[in-house]
Amino acid sequence: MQYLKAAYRVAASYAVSIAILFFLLVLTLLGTLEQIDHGLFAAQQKYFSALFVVQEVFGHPILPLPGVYLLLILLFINLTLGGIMRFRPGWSHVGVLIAHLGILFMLLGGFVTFKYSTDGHLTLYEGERSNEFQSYFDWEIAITEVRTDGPAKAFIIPGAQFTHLKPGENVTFHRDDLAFDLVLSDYAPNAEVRPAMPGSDASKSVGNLVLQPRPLEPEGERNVAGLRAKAAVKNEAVTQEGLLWGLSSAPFRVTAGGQAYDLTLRRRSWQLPFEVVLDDFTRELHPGTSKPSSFSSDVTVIEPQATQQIHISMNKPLRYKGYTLFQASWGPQDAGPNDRLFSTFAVVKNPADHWPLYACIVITIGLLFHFCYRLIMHLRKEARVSS
Amino acid sequence: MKLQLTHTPARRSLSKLFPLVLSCAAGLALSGCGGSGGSQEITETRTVTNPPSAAAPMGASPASMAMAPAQASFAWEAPAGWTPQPATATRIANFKVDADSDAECYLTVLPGTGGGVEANINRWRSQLSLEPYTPAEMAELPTLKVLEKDALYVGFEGIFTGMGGGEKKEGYKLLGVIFEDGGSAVFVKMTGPAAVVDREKANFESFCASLKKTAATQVASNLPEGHPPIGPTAGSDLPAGHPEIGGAMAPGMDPSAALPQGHPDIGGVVPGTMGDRNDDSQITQWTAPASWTQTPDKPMRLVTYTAGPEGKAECYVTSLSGPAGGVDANINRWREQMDQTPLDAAALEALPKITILGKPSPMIEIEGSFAGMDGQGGEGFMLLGAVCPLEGETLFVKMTGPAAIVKQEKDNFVAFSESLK
Repeated sequence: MQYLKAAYRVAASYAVSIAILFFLLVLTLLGTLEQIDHGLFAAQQKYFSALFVVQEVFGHPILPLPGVYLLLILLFINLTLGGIMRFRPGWSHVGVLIAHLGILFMLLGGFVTFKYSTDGHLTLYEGERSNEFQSYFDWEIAITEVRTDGPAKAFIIPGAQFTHLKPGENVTFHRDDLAFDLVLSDYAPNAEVRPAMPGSDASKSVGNLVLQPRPLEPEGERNVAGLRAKAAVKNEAVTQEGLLWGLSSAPFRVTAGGQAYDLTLRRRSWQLPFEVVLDDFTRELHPGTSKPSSFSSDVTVIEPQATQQIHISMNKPLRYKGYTLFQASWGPQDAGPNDRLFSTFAVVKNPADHWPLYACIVITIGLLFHFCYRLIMHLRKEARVSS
Repeated sequence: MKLQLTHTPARRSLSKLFPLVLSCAAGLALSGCGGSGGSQEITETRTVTNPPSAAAPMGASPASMAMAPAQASFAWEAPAGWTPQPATATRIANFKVDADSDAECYLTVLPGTGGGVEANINRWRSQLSLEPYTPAEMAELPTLKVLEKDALYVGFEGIFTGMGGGEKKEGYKLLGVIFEDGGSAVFVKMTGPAAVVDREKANFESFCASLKKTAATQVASNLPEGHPPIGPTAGSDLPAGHPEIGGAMAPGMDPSAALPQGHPDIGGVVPGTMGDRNDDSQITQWTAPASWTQTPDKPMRLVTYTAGPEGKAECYVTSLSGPAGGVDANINRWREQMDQTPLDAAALEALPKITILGKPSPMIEIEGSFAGMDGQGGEGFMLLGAVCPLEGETLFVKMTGPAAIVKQEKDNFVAFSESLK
């Protein structure tokens, strides 16, 4: 019991609050410096999405630090317990309590966004339609039945289940209704496929091709992952080996149990609850320059029950059924006047989309209440003194 | 505010809890470690309404390729008698050349250098159980025009062991072309019995000649005014060995206030190879003469104007990444377009200079018979041109048209060129 009380006191203390804020400042500085050379995505993954960071000092990884993710969890606990510990009934504390609740709500919104939001892009040429959007960074392996007679089943292995593999590590995936087990190994977050040169290590080549790891690009979306895949056909001493690579011109085809499957490493994709058709894309240029002043898209949103025409432009996204589609980019960049253009939409699904706004409103209300209360108390006191 | 650290109960509590905190931290750290081995069940499935068919290769659509680095699409004309085979992971085009043998021909494009042209030629030689070429032999290899590039063209006969060093086949021949193109290594290779390969040699060369790049997915790096800069841009900023960015590329994302909080900047990338339009050009403004009329955007040009009666003269600005072949070579290219002989070094040095972006830039005035890149032109034309080499790019300002009109517009041309900024 005494340990619990001690933990409670420490967790609710101002010292912990200050320590957390100090580390947040340090990590923000380190993350900002990191992104100069390694890009925003890598810096976010290393400092802001991690529980712990092992910081390199003069090239040596020797300084362990808490990650921002852990610090914000601790801050949430600290603010909650601190509020409970220091709560005193009375109007003088109401405003501060409301502001605290707003901050806690802001932190909670951040956690929900981190854990449960999904973002990617949807790129369409004029006239094209799609109900899927793809991640910028994440990968997945799709094992798709090859069929000519109607819909097929695709088995999906999310990247989170294999992108942690280090050289020499492997993981096996199985499923009862899949005729083979899939062993994945030698994952490289950025790689290119090369012909195996004479004299090179034959164990590393597959079909005379090797996966050559490359340094990570600062811009995370330019990394093309690759890994080795071995399909072990069930109940047969047969294995089929191939390379899965993000830029393969064709899938790795596996035949097992009389069924062919196409294995592809591709960007993680998600389905939208509606279909989007790009009807028209327009752009305007600044006079006398080749720089666009604005660009926008006219789309049709199609559902089984309804169809609606929507105009999406910069700062005017489409918000529908929990998804937000922002006008993000377009191409081809050297399109002639009559060339077909494509439009790229950033797609976000975030349950906590407006929570920061609500949190700010709550904090504002709390602070206004507190300031008004203090002002009234002060004026009353002044009135009593002067009388 | 009084710091709790000075508060005795908290300090005592902290010291009591230290071993517990340390254990928890260690546990959390260890729990973050990935593991090897083990088996997992696949739990996620989807229904695909357009499943892959037996022969369908993986297509490249804007959606699938938009986030990838450069990977152009190709088109070709298959020679008669060649049977298309399914594409594979690296064979974009794949053919069985002869029904009665295992002769095959395929096209492979790999981002990066693919190990290098010479290394791959010697790799092919090792597949035919032949010694590698010496540097002198490599230098004497013939070339074949493929995708407007001079590709090294090789042909040799030997004992074919194939790529996996398997069964040895005597009397086999290999024909191959290999070159680097826009940050990718391109290979076209035909192997088979020597008699078959000799018979199909003309078809091989016509297949190579028929290769074309199709319109590729590209990304706009031209952001609206006020956009913060986004991610990767010109090829000149790419690290050494990085594939060129062109064709299918990562879309440039707008990190404006419209993006959700925490949304990462997404880089737009632009082709920046020599000879490619440089959309990271420093040039963003100019002052055109009032009498000129701006025309719609054309490929490879920053801006295009027409001038003179009925707009018969045309003036445009192009920016190409890097030296783009060099000032002298481009001036002589213009002279060639005007059916004039090239200038020697002394004559090039003596050309008059105008000032573009503070740099003295040679300007040339050529009268003659104009044969433009797009086939337009004729007799009695004039070309005014100025070339300005800058940091990371080369700027070209060019005006062509009937000689009488261009002469009248010369002062306007100079003023326009000098207004670029």
